[in-house]
Amino acid sequence: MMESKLSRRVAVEPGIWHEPDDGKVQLIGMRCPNCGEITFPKTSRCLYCQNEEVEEYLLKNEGTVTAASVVTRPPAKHYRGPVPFAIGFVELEDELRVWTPLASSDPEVFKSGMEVELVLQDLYQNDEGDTVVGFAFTPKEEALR
Amino acid sequence: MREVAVAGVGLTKFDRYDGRKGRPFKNFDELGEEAILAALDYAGFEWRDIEAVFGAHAFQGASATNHCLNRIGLTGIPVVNVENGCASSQSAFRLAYQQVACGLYDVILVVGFEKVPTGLIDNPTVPKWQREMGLDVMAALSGCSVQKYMEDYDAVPEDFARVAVMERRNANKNPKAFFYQKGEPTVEEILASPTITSPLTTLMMCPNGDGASAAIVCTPEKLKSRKNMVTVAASVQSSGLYGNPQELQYLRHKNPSVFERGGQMAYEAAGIGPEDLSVVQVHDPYTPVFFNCVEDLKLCERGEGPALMREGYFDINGTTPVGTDGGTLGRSHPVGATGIAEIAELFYQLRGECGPRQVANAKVGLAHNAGPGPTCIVTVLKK
Ligand SMILES: [Zn+2]
Repeated sequence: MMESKLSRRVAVEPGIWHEPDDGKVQLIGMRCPNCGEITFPKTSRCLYCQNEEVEEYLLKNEGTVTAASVVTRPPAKHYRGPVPFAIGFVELEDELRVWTPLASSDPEVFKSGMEVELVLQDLYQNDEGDTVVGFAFTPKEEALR
Repeated sequence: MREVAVAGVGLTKFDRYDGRKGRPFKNFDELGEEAILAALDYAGFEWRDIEAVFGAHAFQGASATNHCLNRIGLTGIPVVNVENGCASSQSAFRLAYQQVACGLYDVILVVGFEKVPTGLIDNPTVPKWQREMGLDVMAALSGCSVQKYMEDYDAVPEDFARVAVMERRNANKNPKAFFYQKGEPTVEEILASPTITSPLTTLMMCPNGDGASAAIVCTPEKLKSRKNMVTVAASVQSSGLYGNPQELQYLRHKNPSVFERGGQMAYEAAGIGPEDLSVVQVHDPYTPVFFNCVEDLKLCERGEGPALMREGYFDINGTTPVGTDGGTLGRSHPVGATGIAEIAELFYQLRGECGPRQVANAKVGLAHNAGPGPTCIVTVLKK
């Protein structure tokens, strides 16, 4: 990702991912000690059993695409990124499926069964001139670059 | 609970009322007024006979129903605006049905109206940060579901185009439909139209039409005539249940979908089964949703939809006709007007007034109206 010296990078929403200084970014989910359910994004109570004693749970940062769609028209509101763009479902090993942006130089590349990895990507510049950052899954070979 | 009859319905033509390219311009309140007056006329009722109003819309702003009624008359009755996304007007119908059934009122009018924004309709139940990431495109979810369906069952892209062919064919026979007498595209033309959310193309998605629909529910005693009386056999609602398949993130829990539960509740309340249905309207803004609907409502087994569609099972002269008015794809989907438009079609079918699109000997009809949340209203009318 390109980083300008003048512009700060701010998360699209706080508390969605954990980015260690020396490791790979992970999405922050919720795990319920009562029923074992895992949810993303995290919630303050379990949506399955309503238990309020839930704990943060870092999701696996690799998974498999189960379905993808390329959007060729701009969404109605709020989205200010490139068009066309890909979104789809990524299944994280035995945890859950995430409805997620899929980032690649070629949005058509995503197919069911493709192995992908979590990355952060620039979305747009906000009114303060900061770069707003969101997450996406990208093909493993592109993430290595 | 008291028996509840439908006294009359009214529809505008579903069209684009934007004043462009030679099309007429009409505001939502004019459309609402037109549908209300048509329903009153059908029922033979005066405006002063109406004891309460539920008005449905999603995009017209606070208290928009009152703008429609201010064109007709102020009679001091309770007026409530109902917003439930794409399921707004059948939600309003359900409230009216309940209040007549439990004896609060004898005659209630419901109206749904909408002038729809252009472009992709977003999902307002998605948080803003997810919308900034482009995750509110409902049609993309449907695009993904096509791939899953083709993996799980014996289906090909042509099957998802065939839904649009059937609904466009039916719309050709409905003067109120958006695509009335606008031709019948072939499977090849539908697949070759511009891709919007792959693999869905423009013609596999409902057009952005404007329009209004109205219905009057009452006790049978209030009807001008009980000849060909149509009554409400069920009006039920389900909402999301943790682990249902529309919420595809859940891996561990498997619960029936909001459509399937809505269908089960409606069959139970009406004391019927899917085999008793003469005619069905489903809420299918994108063609893949058609198969989710007919399978969840148990009109056929899972995965059977495409093969039955090829055989003409859902055609007007088929075993279980679906989308006889043109459906969401041929009638169009003016969000707040769709649910009552489905009820209007059932009403006309049960009374034998559908001319070239009439289903022979129609006795029981089911209408399915879905919205984000998710939510699902199912209404059963019978003769
Ligand atoms: Zn729990």
